[in-house]
Amino acid sequence: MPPDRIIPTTCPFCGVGCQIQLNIKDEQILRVTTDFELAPNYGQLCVKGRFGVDFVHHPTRLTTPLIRKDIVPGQPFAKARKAASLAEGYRAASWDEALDLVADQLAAIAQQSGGDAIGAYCCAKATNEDNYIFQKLVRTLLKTNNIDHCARLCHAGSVAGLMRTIGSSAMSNSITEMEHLDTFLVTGSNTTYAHPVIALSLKKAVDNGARLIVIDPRRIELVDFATLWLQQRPGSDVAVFQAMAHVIVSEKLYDVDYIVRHTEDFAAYAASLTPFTPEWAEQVSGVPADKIRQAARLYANAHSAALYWGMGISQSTHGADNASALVNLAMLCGHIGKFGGGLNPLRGQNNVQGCSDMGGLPNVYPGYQPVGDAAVRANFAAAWGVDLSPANGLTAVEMVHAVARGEIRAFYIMGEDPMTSEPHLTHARHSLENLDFMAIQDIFANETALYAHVILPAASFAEKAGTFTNTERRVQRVRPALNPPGLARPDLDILLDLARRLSQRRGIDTRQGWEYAGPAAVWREVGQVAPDFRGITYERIAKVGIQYPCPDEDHPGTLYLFADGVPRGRGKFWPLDFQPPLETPDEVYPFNLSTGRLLYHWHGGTMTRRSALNDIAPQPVVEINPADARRIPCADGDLVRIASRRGEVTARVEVSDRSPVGTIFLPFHYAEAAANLLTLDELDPAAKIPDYKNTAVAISPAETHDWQMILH
Amino acid sequence: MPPNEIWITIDGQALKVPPGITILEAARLAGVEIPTLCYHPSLTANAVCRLCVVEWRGSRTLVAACAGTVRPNAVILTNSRRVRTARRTILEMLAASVDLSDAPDLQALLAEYGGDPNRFGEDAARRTFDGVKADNPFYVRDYDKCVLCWRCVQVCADDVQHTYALGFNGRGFHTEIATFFDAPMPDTTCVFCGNCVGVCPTGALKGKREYLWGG
Repeated sequence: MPPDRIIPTTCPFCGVGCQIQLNIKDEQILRVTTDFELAPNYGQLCVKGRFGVDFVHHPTRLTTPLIRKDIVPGQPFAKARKAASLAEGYRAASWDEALDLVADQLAAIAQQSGGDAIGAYCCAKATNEDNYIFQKLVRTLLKTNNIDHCARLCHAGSVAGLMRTIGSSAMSNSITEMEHLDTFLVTGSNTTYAHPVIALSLKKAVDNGARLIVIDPRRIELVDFATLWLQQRPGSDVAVFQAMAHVIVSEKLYDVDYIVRHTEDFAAYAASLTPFTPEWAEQVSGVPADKIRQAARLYANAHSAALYWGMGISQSTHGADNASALVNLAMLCGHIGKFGGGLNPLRGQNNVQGCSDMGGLPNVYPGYQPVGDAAVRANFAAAWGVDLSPANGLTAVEMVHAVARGEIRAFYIMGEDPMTSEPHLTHARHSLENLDFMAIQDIFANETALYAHVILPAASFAEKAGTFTNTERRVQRVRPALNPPGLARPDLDILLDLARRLSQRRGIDTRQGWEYAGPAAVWREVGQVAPDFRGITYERIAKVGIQYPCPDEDHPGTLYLFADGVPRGRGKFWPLDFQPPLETPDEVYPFNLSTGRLLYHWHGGTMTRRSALNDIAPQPVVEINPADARRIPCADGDLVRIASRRGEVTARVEVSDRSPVGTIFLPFHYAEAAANLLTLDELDPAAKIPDYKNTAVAISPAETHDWQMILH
Repeated sequence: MPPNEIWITIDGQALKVPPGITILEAARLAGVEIPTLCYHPSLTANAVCRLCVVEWRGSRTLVAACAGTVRPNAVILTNSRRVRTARRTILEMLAASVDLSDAPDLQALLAEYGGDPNRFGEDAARRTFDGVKADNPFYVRDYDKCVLCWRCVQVCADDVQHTYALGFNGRGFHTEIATFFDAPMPDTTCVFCGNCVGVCPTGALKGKREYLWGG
């Protein structure tokens, strides 16, 4: 069937940033196709991109601004409480009424308690332009740096580990380089599920003769393609990496030239490795010492070797240590700053890279320029024409804690769902109920939305223009293919409208004002304040995206980073000590719970639970090793109750040897069995990221479940 | 050292091309269009459909342009009477045995080559299978429309996905694309990437959404 029109755009799911074509007929998406000529996916897609975008047509899309029924003009508001449903809790409102109410409340709270009494979540799914304007609004009009997003809950460990050692946190290589690798090490990334199209390049590399080392407690699909699989006990990653470093140093497999020219503190670091023998690591991690030696030799002796990692490394209370350990390995062997060789944290969300790049973080402005640096701050103050708060803001989980303490009184949330993604949800809920005001801007009413005083309906990716930046730093166009449903408006439009109202109430004028001739004008301003993006224009990326850094319009973009050394000047070897997970199984809670993703769902499930994808994975399923299943006892398809010290959920059993003995795996996509009711909200001291991979739980058979697939 | 370029002649036009490229690539350099069916630029060329055959002076049989590589001094005819007859016959046999209603490109080629879809008469055997297979939430398989180009099998295997959910059952005229033991898709290794749907040239594989739409 021929479509009425074909609109090229960027996939809204993971960080690979596949180029897709929305084939539109009768104002509906008929099918998704893709161009075989275009990077980064060259005609390949996964199930989510090809069949999962029908969520944009779901009947539960928000189509009108909503205000809580119990709000009476002139009266103080009730605190945030979860409404039973949208129909019961809310009434439709005009944009003017809703935005005036939001502006009044935010202005009043900023006036009474200071800007730091407001917390803001920007959005790793929204465009660069949305996020740039969002953080500018928060910093200039609300005068706070309390802005963060879900990257805190995913790659904060990687960012902290990379920043303190080399001074840059982006993925250093490119997808196109992968097929030419000769050795790669994948750890803590179930790549075939979480970044399916990147996994295709890894498989192709193996076809081409590359050797793959997988270090993962779970028997993931990539193990089928691996030369070596090191199955460490959950949480013992640092032990394995340190022992590999020990082997590389003791067998003198390191790259002297690289170490001398590009690093510092090697001697102290090498000395610190003495106790971390492979035999010691075998005790701690369960990986045979010999396998650790083999992996170290394979990696060190490679011509070009790359490290790829995901949440298994980062989402840990020692996430920064895990990442630093990997950086140490790469620097030892000089596998950094060359074609195919480097450090590659795989980013999860379609635009989590861009959201961070645009300054959606409490301690940096756009382009990772530190808030704490007076000169930088003065530059931004001059560029925007306003005074800026010198204090770093709070991170995502810290903001929730600050609400509990009454220090934050209002939340403004764009497109995020902390009530699914935050750890220890019961505590998060109690915190949210302490809020004097909460506004949310989203395409669906997710779990968090029902706490809000005001809900603003936004356009989906298919209904707005802008850019996303993928995991390999490629800035790519997003184009509108459909009109937003009802009164819904593109995020940028909503933000600018709100900013104009706030600007008036706060009496603050920025240099540029809040009238922009579309997202292209916003992007031009990004280039003015963040030089890495200056050379990327909408015209240049009309067909193929460009990888930043790209300082001027003649620059072709950057295939791989650190060719001339690392941003810190010299890479710093980071001595580490092994720390076990904070919560380990005991007699009462004898199993370790690891949370993560399925191929067929996406994060909080707000989108995928409303798409064809839900038909294939409609219910929460917990993976249990056959040996554990005998011990519990339970069988395939049984219901079990999973309890931790913080909460309990019910899920259906899938007996599978993907999970090792003693560890169960529960995806976090299902609000009706929210894995994060169980998880622990202790944070990595350096990265402020919680541990989603190690929670002690007990399992008991269950007769019934109380699941309701709640779509508000 | 092999030469950097070799001389060949395509349809009377002499040109220098890099050695080792396919006849199809060489023809494109010469600005000559050769029709293809099973060939896909992102996949291994298996030369199963024979639609792209050309005449190579000195070769006993016609040569598939997608897979055959040029050699020095090759003299190639891409549109000779013999070539046109072969292509027309292939298209007529496909039209007689397969439902090409969702393959406008093939219908256009049939017309261009003066093919008669009813050449083999009323009794011509048709490849019909027991209905549309709709065994998963994402795509349907209608093998009445399948021309056995192999693209889906290859994209599912080493060319892209490395999932190996699709293969062949049967032999000769009864060959069909199928899963192992004809198992429903959710019971196979299929990960529903739909890369097979993306390369299907005849609408035999189609998104379920589009199928339910009425197409």
